[in-house]
Amino acid sequence: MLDVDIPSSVSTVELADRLGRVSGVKAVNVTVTDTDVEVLGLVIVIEGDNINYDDVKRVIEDLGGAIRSIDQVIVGEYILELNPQLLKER
Amino acid sequence: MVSIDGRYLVLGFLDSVLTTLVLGETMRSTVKLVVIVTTINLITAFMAEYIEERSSLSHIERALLMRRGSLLRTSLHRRAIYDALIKGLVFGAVSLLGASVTNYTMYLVRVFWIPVIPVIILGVFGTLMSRYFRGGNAVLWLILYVMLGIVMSFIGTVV
Repeated sequence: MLDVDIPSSVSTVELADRLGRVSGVKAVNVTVTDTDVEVLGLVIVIEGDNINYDDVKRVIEDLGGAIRSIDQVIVGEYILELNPQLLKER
Repeated sequence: MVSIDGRYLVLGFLDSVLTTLVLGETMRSTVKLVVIVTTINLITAFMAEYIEERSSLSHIERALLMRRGSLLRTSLHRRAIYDALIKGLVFGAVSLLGASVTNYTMYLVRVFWIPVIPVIILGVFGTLMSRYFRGGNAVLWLILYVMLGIVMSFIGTVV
């Protein structure tokens, strides 16, 4: 799960399409969370096996985007879900 | 897909007609004149568009809190060059048309030093310019471009 800013002139459809073609990626969800005159704030969720993060980064940067933070990474043989209650208690 | 504003087509045409009117009197080679006017307009249009695109990229860099020049290695910059090139080529093609038409009609009908056909063409295209301004007055634009045509051809004759 990535927190990304991209120029508003960039198509989110193109971004999602290019991310979907990165090796290891099985599914992509691009959600606009913030809109400005020149910048779109996005949350990008990418799922797959052995995702090549460097290629993901390259695609986003090639479209003029900037990765602000990596908010969630899940690695392992099964999906380890985070209990939201744990976050609230912190 | 590059979108080309109609006013740039009209401006390209008007610009080439005016330049040809000034230079037409002094240059003997008609082909050379058309090539010079077209090339100048093509390069000028490309540079103007490219500078505007670069300025837009600089704004985006500031908005994204990026270092200056960060977007120069991205597809956004490549797209900006491509867009400027296409617009420059279109502007050049329109200029070629304007310069050619002016060049081949400027000696057909003359009143004193005034080449009548190119000046009429300027008037017609001048009225089109009024469409690109809110509340633009077609008659004023017609008079402006007819006057410009007369003055430019006078300068070409005197110089």
